[in-house]
Amino acid sequence: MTPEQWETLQGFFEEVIQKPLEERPEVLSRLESEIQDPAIRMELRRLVEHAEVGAEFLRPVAGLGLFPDRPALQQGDLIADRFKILRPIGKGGMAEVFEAYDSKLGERVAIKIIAPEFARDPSLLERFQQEVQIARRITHPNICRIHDLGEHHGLPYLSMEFLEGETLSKVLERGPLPLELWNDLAHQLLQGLRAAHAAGVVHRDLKPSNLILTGSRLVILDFGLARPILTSEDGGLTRPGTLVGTLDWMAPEQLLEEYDERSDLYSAALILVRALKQGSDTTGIGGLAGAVRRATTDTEFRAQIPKSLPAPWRYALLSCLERDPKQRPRSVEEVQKLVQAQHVLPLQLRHFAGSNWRSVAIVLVVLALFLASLRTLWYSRQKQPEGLKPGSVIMIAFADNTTQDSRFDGLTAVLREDFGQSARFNVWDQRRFREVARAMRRDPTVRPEGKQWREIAVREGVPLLVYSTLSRVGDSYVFSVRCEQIGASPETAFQKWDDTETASGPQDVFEAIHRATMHVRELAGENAAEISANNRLLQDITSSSWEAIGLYSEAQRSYAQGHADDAVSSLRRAVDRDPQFAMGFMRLGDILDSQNKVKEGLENWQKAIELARAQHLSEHERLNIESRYALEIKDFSKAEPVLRDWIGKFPNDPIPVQLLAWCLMQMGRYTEGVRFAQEAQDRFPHTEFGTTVLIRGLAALNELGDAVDKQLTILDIIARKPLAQEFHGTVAALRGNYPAAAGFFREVMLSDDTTEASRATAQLANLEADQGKIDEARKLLRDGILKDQQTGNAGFASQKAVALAYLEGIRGNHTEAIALAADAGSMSQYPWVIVQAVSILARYGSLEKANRLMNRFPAGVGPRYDADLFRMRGEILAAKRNYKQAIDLFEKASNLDRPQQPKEYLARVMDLAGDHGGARLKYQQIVATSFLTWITDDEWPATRFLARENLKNSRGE
Amino acid sequence: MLSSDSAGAMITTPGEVSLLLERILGGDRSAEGRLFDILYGDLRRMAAYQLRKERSDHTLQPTALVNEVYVKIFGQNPPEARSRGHFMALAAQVMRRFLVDHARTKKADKRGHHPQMVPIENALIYDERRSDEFLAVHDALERLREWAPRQSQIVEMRYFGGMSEEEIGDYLKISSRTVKRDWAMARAWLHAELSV
Repeated sequence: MTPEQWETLQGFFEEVIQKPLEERPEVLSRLESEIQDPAIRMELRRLVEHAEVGAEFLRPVAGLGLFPDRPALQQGDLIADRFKILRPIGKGGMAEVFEAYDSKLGERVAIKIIAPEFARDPSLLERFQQEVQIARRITHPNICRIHDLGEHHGLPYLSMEFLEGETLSKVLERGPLPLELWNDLAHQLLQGLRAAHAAGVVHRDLKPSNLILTGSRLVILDFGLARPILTSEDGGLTRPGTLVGTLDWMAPEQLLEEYDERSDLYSAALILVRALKQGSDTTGIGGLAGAVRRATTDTEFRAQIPKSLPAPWRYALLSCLERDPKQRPRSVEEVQKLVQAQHVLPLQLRHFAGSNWRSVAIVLVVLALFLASLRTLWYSRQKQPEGLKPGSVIMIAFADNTTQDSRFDGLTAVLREDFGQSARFNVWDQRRFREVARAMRRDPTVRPEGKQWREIAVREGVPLLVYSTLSRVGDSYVFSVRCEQIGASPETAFQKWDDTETASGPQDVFEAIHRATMHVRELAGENAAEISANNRLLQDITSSSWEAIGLYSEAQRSYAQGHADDAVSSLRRAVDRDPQFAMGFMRLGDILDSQNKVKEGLENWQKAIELARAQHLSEHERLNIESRYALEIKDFSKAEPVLRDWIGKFPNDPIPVQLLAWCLMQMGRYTEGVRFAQEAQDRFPHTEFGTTVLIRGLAALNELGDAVDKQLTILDIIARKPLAQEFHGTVAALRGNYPAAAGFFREVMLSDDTTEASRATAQLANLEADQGKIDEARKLLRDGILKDQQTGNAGFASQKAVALAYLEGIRGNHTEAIALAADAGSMSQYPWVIVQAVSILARYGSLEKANRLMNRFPAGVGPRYDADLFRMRGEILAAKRNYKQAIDLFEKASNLDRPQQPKEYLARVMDLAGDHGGARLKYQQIVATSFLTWITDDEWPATRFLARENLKNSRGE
Repeated sequence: MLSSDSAGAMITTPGEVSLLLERILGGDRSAEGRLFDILYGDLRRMAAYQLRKERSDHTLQPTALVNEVYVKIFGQNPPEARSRGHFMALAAQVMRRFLVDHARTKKADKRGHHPQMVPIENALIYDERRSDEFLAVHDALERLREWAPRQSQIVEMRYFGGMSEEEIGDYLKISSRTVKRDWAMARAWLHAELSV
């Protein structure tokens, strides 16, 4: 139907419709005989019929009458034979509030009742009930008192203190507060907050409309969103992807759904700053954009705080507004102390620093003692936990080796492996350390000390932190563990679970450590059966050679600092010292693979697998090795059951969940994969790997909306900058915003991180080629190869060389293509590079070279490798014009290959063989997979561009 | 708790929404929070309405839909809305789009599932178990948009956004009579399309 036809039709339609029902058939018949256009004629009859039968269609909707506005309670209602409803006094998002008379207490109360429309929303009910439970724990003049919870005609309600007054937001509309009043209210706000925190409650949604002024008293309302401190594990009230809190007043970390009492300090300080300012907000720090900006850049709050405010207050507010929660005061008490200080401490310190360091030390000691006593006071109100909940995470601080004997440097690794045996508890992933350090704006190469471990543990929500020391006394060794329960009072935090074990010689140290971990596991709540099910000898899990373990630890450190070669040489020595060291072989295989030494890498992996099966490895380590090997050789259907087994046996370990998500996506099961990736993000702390997996999965599902933006924001915070930018770039490209994508990639190309810069070059070349800008892509690749060679990255150079060879080929420069492909093939061990090099050599007639290269390819490794072999043989047959057999081989390869992989080879040869229809279908598939191919990095540049071209040409035939 | 003359965020003065929208359009982003607070109840109700047939164990909750509105509408540029009615229509559109996307993934989830025919009214309400029908409504509206963009928009504003004929006329700068006529026609067409 065209707009013109529709307009004509509308004229006729109305002519019929305005007639009474009984006259319509006649009018309709007359019009039908007049109308020339059959489309209009038929549509008219249809519409008239449906206007009649559908007369009630869409009827219930007229204006906002759609939403019944019946209040939950009426004036005069009597609830529970006790509360007489006087009048409505307010309406919030999900509840209504009434003034009522409580005949039992003989006073006015407020009744907050869930609005009828929401009574069936279970999450709301749960939240409502929680509100009561939490708020009833607090009795304080600055917090609205909650009395009771009840139910009236199926609607839950609660009764609470009736307050007469105005909200702070209303007061502020009239202008900023006079300093004296501000000072008074600020103190009251802190008092109220302090009481809440002492009861173990974080408010999470402090804002001016939640603060009410009744007379000169300030009262904090609405604990509906508050949650107990550090119980995010059993939380789940907030839906995944749902931010809780009001964005304007949120602390930056709340965007990541992380919060503790310091988030309240931030919100309170923000409220206090704005209460002092003329005009409501001229700084543009409202809304989501503002919240994100506050989270990602340092806001200049200093300028917004009037100079008339006393210096202690200015300093206190600024410290509360630190972006990093760790930089803020730890507690309300600390803020109060800062405010009461006669002089501002840091200034004082700076002053002392030049003249008399001893005074500084004294000030610090006094301050520390003072804070410690405050903390004791606070903690002593909290209950001492008994044991740990299943699924709790144990964090192991770097062990302290005081023996001066470097062979025990692997102590931490051993301890981690030993705790890692437990299926009841989970060991905090040390690899996350760098991410956390980055998020905490701390240097990741500096080893943290005791207090800093504690901060990390609090930040990560880890309930148990294990410190350990190995010392030497004469000829024997003493191993001691100190367990700190985070969230318990300092007096009791270290009690009971500490243990000291002695060993008579280095080999006995293994036994001593094992006894200590068993002791802790038991006290933490693991029963005897659970322990004995996962209780391997430490020597078996790791190595019986301290030297080997020490070298292993050294390798881990080198690798983390970017010295992969040093790591390889340490690991080689480690497995040489102990040829039974499965973990060592695995790590060696892993690193070698990433270094373009695939062949040697695979040999080490296979050795690790062999040992894992033969030895009494811990179950955790066996699953780890088996699944990672399967993923390494891209045998995803083999990896899946192992990963599921791992999740089943260690349900609290995030790693298998993330790996499974990745594995499923590789098999083309994106929805399932995304579900697991999302689950990992919801249940465990955000990691670089987990976040990138989720982003790729969402992209594969073409879900490029806010869900992706949220994950990108997370990545901005936790990940290396170039990596985050690379993801921004790819998402922009998938959204069709090529200039933005190119901008991101170009920025990464300038980064110091040569690996990322090199990847970004390849991606930008792909982007250009995909839009048909072949020459731009060629130039980028050419420059990129030179740069890779300068930085010694032969693997990346080979990938670019083969891509360039392909582009030269389609430009008709066959000699150049052959030379580049031969070069790439000879310097690379990446299976994909070899396959592509063989393909190019074969199709441009260099069959001998192609054959030689193919024979270097490892056989019998796994299905993915077999697919590659079939492909290479197919290419050679196709070059000999034996299309039928080539297609047979390609079909075989295609079945073994990942489903989302573009099957360009199949399309091309089908076309050559004369099967244009079949080729067309394949090309269409390639064009349609643009969102999926991000999952696989190995793709020709310009694949989709050429597919589109081919489709265009075939349409022209 | 609160006395009526002081309910702050909860009680609105007439015209306040328009005033806030004007401030937001003028670049004052601080008005967003206040606007959101004021409209939160209505948005919640709208979300609950769009999801009303959902079982309680459904993956989508009204809160998620409301947050979606917040993020979408205030996420980047200030909303181009001048009245409460129009803001709500915009919100309805955002919720709708979100549900359409959600329905698409659900559809992808259960390939091979054959939809059962249900009364067409039910198709207007989101139910993740019947994403096909829901998408059919969306597709029909999109088709209508091709040759009758105004009618399509009127259905969206009126049915999903709950705007009155006057508000729509005001916004589209057409008479209420035209709105009424377009509405009758579009309704008949949609009914015809969905009844097949």
